[in-house]
Amino acid sequence: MVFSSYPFLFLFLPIAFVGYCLAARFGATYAVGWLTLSSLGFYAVWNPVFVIFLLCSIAFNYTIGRALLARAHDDSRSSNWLLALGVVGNLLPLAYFKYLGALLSFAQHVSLISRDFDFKVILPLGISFFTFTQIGYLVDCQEGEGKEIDLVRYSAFVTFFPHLIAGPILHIREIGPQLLNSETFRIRWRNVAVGLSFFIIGLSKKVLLADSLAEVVKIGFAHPGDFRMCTSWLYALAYALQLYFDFSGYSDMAIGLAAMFGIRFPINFDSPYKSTSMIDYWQRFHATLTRYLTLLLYNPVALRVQRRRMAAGLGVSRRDQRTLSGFASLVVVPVFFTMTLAGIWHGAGFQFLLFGLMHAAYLTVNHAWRMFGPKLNKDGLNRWVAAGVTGSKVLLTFVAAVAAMVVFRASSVSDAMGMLAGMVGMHGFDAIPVPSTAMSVLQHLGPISTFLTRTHHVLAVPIDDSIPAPASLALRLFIVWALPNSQQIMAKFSPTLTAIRGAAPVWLTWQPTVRWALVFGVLLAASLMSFQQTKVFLYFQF
Amino acid sequence: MESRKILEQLTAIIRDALDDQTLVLTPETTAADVPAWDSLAHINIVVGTEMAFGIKFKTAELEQLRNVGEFLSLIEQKLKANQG
Repeated sequence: MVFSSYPFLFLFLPIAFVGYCLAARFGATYAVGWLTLSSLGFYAVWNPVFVIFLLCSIAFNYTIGRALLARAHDDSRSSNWLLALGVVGNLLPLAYFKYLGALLSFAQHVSLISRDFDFKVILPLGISFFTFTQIGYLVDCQEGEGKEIDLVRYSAFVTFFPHLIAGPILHIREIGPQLLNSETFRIRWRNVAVGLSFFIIGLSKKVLLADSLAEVVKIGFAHPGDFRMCTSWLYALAYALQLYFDFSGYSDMAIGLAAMFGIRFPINFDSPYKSTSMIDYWQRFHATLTRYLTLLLYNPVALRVQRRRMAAGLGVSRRDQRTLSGFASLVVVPVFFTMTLAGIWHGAGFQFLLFGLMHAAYLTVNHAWRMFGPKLNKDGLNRWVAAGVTGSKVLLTFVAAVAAMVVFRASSVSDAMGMLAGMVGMHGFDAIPVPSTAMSVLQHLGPISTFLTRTHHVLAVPIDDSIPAPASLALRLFIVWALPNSQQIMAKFSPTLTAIRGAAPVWLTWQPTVRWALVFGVLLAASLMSFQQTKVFLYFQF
Repeated sequence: MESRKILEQLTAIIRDALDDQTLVLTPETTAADVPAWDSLAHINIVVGTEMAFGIKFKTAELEQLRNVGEFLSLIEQKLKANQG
């Protein structure tokens, strides 16, 4: 049951919400209990057997968590062992469901083993997400966080249906206090209106902007080596835009649904394609994953390296990093470690490893530029020059991100290489396809059209469904680059935990008025009518 | 140690880590306000602070900090715990 489906919107959501209102009358614990029950129901619709697995996982982690909390303040080594046991207990099922099949077939492929296991399992939906959430919980428990959280609240924290399957990845310290505060369970119609509006933005992103690209992206990536430069770029851009609207749409819906129930989530997407650097990009794209990986992988490694350097009498300031060994140990090692694991987290294929390595390389170059590159003083710059500098930074970051996304989407490394080769012109050049109607307009432009057709930049190619239409991609890029994001539109009623960067112009800021009700009504109706072609969320596979 | 002195010392550490001697910090400053303050710089600031004050932070504590003011009160809290 995906959020963008009739059963979810017209059956599950009303039952869950009305039940919640009723349960809340009896008290906070009943409301929390209902949240857990309805969320388990949500999960059971997809696969009832895995509900048992989910419950076992919750029981296991809660038990270990309580044991860790009991030892939180004595610095004994036993708590490290307990944490290690908890982490392994979480990672084993993840490894079994997600990586074992791939490892066995790889081992067979390189003739390590001769037997064909033909190992196939169904991946429990959202396993990566609830595994990560719970490992984070254990780490917090070791440091004494979340003492007041009982089993009912812990279960609601893990299973709450808006985030169960594809995030945002939450921390107990941001959700726990909300579940303990009885104010959370007072139904406020303002929350419902704001949450529903946030949900509609996400729904229309998903249904109107992402799903409509799904078919054409599939066609392109089924034959990734077949296209010349222009067409390859159209497919790559189409995927980058599909992924963005799909996942950010999902995250918006999650934030909106949670807000309806009076619970606030952190922001997961902050206009990543407006980033001016790769470091910036990762703060804005799937931000809760970045935050999580920084906390659990990057920080421990970087801290260990830094402390060791300090102890050896080597400095850790910016000046000290400017040596080759400083840069290698302070930047390259922790970044590659983190991003390689981040890549593999998405799946067992080598393309995911390559995706992680590419981003590690990007980040390393970005840090190197910050440290060794020229310092540009922006104050003295002409306004237009400054805008040009920012624009080219955004474009460079975007192109780098798109190249990595091609690898991410491809079914194998060689497929990815085929598409990338096409994008850099190794399969030859082709014209930008322009629909014949637009072409007839162009023909009236005299010298411009002569120039364009003579130089073969444009051809009157009839648009067919197998190539992404440049105009539809341009529209999406306009939305991405020129319009405010969901949280900026909804900023006045701040339904998120994280502070909102930047602001939307007043006329694009949501208000509980008739005008906005009409706009969102139209968006909702348009989305509902497009449900037939709705697709499963891309991030459900991770 | 009083808060003002801690802020002075912290400012010196952060200036050094970010290589920006003109940086001015207030309790309301956040990492997002300072462009060079990324996750790497954050680690440098943390380790620099640990060395300077003779304290040690937990991983979770680093994540929770919203602004310089909260960082200051965490340092104060740790210093008190060390004395006590």
